[in-house]
Parts: sequence; structure tokens; C-alpha cells
Amino acid sequence: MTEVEAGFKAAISLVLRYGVIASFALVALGSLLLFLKGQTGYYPVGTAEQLIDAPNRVLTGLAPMARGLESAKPYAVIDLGLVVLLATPVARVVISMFLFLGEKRYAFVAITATVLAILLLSIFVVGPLVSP
Amino acid sequence: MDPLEFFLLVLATAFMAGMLGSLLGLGGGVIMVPFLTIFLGVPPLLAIGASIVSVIATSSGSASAYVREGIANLRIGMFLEIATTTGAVIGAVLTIALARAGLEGVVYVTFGVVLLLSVIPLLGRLGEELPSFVTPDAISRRLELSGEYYDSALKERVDYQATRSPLGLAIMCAAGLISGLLGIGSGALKVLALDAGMRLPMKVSSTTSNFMIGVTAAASTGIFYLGGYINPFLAAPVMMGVLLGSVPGTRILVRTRNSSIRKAFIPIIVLLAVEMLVHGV
Repeated sequence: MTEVEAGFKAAISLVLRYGVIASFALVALGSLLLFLKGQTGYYPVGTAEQLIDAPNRVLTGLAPMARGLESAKPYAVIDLGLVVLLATPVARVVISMFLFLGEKRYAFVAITATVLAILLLSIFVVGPLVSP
Repeated sequence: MDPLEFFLLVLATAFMAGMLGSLLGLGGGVIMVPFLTIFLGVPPLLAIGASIVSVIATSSGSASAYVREGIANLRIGMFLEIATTTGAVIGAVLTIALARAGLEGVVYVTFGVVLLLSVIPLLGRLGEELPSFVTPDAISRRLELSGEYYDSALKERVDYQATRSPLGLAIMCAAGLISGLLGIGSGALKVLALDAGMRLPMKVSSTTSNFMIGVTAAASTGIFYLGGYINPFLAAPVMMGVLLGSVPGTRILVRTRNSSIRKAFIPIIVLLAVEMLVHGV
């Protein structure tokens, strides 16, 4: 392993580790708030069945999540944790691209860019298509 | 049911699922989805959405260690992620379409069949520990799909070379499809693509597979998220429980060389598979 490669691998390792830790902390905090406040921030907790059946359309986007965070809505905090989690592997792919760029492995820069494009397409194009 | 009771029940079960799943190398999702749907009556898509979130968490957590140790092959992983992410997008769209068309039975039956098949690698190894005389195909030669690692058990440096890349890509696409369709990591199939398909050493296969699971799961999670199938009330306890359970699970796995302990849990997996099949028919 070269020094550059080792550096990038250490960076990837750290991003994965702290991405998961940050996500876990946010999800745990949001869950705690959910039961302390007795409401999701959008509707009262009620029964477990009601919480499962409730359509969570309010949470399917960054803008409503950001508004919910301003007033510390429990569901918005959990949601932020889940978004951080989703962003973790995406960040890993982005760092890998710079690693390959540094190694002048241009075929792999293209391969990594393709994977990144598929990930972004899934979130920004395919996702909205199936959105209720 | 009282929401706090329900939450704690799911959290505790997810902990057990995470421990058992990482012990068997199958991941927590294969146990969580049947539990949520069959025993708690959660709609399949919500169970799948909660499970796929936990898949990203456990994969990223363990991949963090594997990348640092340098056994997982980033280049081979990246190359094959083109296939797994494409498959995952198709799988997620397909499972949503099936559920919306009222064909949830198809999802249950597929889950049962995949779960039964995933027992096969637990019975015996299909790949080789250290493959020899591997001749690279054109793609793996051009992309230098090869590497080296220090084997701490053998106390020597191991050089390896991938082959049969098209076969690897094809199996990986199927692995991605199943991951997106069922909300599981489909690590067993990924390992199969790497060791039996592309003839990589066992250690490289298992760590690279783990490394790929997170990115594969991310490709379908965005779709489930925007589709409204990631319910915080379910995703939160499943993600936290499975992640916490995978820590002791992985530790036991590293310590136990004895595979008979793992085989003792096979009946549980078979039982869950049969339950899913019966539920779907």
C-alpha cells in the first residue's frame, strides 16, 4: 500500500465509522424525544398500530425535515439520523473517486463516477417517481 | 399495543437478529423482515424499509475496520458495485410495484426461497480458501483486478488475481436485485460471486462483499425513503438493535473457528423461510 492509498483508506474508514456513530446518536436522541414528548412532532404517538399505519409523507424530503429540526420534532431528528446514514456510503464513493484520481487510475475514476451517478439517480430521479 | 412496549420489543429482537445474523454471516435483515411481517403484522414494504436501513449501518460499521486492515479490495468492490447498485434500483422499484399491485405474496415467496438458498453456504464452502493457477480474463487484466494482503493465520503475504469478471458482474447484479427487492444485504450471494465466481481468496471475498453491501443498500434506500416506506417508528429500533447486536456477534464469529455452532442455528433460518413461504402462498 502506498502512502497516498493508506491515507485515503484511513479517510474512508473514518467516514464510515463516524457516519454510523453520528447516525446512531441522532436516531437514539430522536427516539428518546419521541417518548419523552409523547408525540412525533407531526401527530400524537397514540398506539403502535397507528404509528405504523400513519403515512409518513411529511418526512420524505430534506426541506420538511429541516423545518422539523428547528422545533426539535422527534421524527425529524430520527429522519436526520437516517439521512446521515444514507449519505455515509455515498461519501465513501466520493472519497474513492479522489483516491483513484490521485493514483491516476482513470478507468476507475469513470467506474466510480458511474456508481455515484446511479446512487444520485436513485435518490433524485427514481425516488421521486415512486413518491406517493 | 403500547408504543413504548412495541418499540422495546422490536429493539430487543433486532439486537438478537443482529447478533445471530452477523454470527451466520447473513446479516440481521433476513431475521428482522420475517419477524416484523409474520409476528408483528407489519406491512412487508415497511419491514423491508426498516431492514435496509440497518443493512447500511452494519455494513458501514464493519467495512470501516476491513478497509483499515487492507484486506477488502476497493478496486474489485467498486467495479462490481456498478452491477449491484443497478440491480438494487431495479429490485426496489419492482418490490414497490408488486406491493402496490397487491402482489405481496410474490415478495414473501421470493424471500422464503432466498432464505432457504442462503443456508447452502453455511453447510459447506463453495469457493477455495486460497485459489491457485488463476488466469485473468480480459477485463480483470485491463483493470488490474488483483491484489495482495497479509494473512495473519498463515503468516505470509498472499497475492491474488480475479478472473471471470462477466460472471462476477452477472451474479452481483442478481445480488443487488435481491437486496433491493427484499431489504437484505444479500451478502451470501455477493461472496459467491467473488469466491466461486471470480475465484478470489476467501478472506478477500468476505471482506470485499461486506464493503459493497452498504453502497448497494444505499441505492435502494433512497427509493424506499422517498416512496414513504421508511417509517421512523420502525426504522429507529431496527437500525439501533441490529447495529448493537452485530458487535458481539462479529466478536463471537472471529473467536469461534468451530462451524458446528453456526450450523446449530440453521433450523431457525429454515423455520423462518418456511413461515415466509406459507405466508406468501
